[in-house]
Amino acid sequence: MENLSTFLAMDGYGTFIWPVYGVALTLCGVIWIARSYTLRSLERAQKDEDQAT
Amino acid sequence: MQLDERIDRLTMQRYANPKAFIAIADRVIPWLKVLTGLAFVGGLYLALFQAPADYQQSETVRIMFVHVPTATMSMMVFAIMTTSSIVALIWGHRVADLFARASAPIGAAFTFIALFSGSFWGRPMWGTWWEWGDARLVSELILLFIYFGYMGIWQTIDDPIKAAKAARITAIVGAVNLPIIKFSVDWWNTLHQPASLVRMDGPAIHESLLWPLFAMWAAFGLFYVTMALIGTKIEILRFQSRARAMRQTEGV
Repeated sequence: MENLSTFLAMDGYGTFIWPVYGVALTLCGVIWIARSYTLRSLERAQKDEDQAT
Repeated sequence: MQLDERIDRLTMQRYANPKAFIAIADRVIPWLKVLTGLAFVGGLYLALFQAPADYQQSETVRIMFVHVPTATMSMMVFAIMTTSSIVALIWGHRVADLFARASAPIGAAFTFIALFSGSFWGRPMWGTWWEWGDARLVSELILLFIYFGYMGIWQTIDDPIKAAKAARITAIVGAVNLPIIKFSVDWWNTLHQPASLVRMDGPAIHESLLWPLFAMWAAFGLFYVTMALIGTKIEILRFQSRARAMRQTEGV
């Protein structure tokens, strides 16, 4: 537990380091999920249209 | 090789066919997703657990592993968008327009992350979150606004042909900012440090910090390629769906 808190504290710079990693990974994650979801729904819609015609 | 085939390769006409583009994208996207995931896991492990603290900057050096790759990628993505726009302008390559359009939000995200991480690095190292007198910081902020302008053009102009033309011009004119960002640290006295990687006498960064940096670079680079291919496929499908809807309303 002490090791974890020492690691998270990052020599007193944790408040500067963790937000950077957090924001970067969150933004990339949001783009990844949004694009994957949009692509899947478009492919499904196209398949439905193809079946209807 | 036949002359036609050589011209096709030279002008990338084969990729101008949306069907061919989708076929290639479908084949590589699953592999790219796996590679991107692995690169991020490896890069984050090296950046957070393996890289040593810097003797001057202490643990804050870990911000570099996010800041430097995203800052360079923010410029690289815009350079790719400019190249795509030139290809679209010269050869009427529709997929190139859509590729540039799909790249813009990723480039904007990289620019935002670079500015955000730079600010969070600057506070403990320089004693300030932001410096308006610093040419590198301001020119990078201008790049973010250019990205917003480019995305705004596609969103606000209804006619896709007119939107594509305006977007191409924005991407080509906006590229003027790229050498300004790159050389701002050499041309003006800035708070931002001069180049420490791409230098005539080699990188000024210790090897133990270089590997995590390259790993994170690979992760963000692969992320861009994967997301740009998915984004382009989305744009092609949207375009096809719109065209189908128009044909149906016209009763063709």
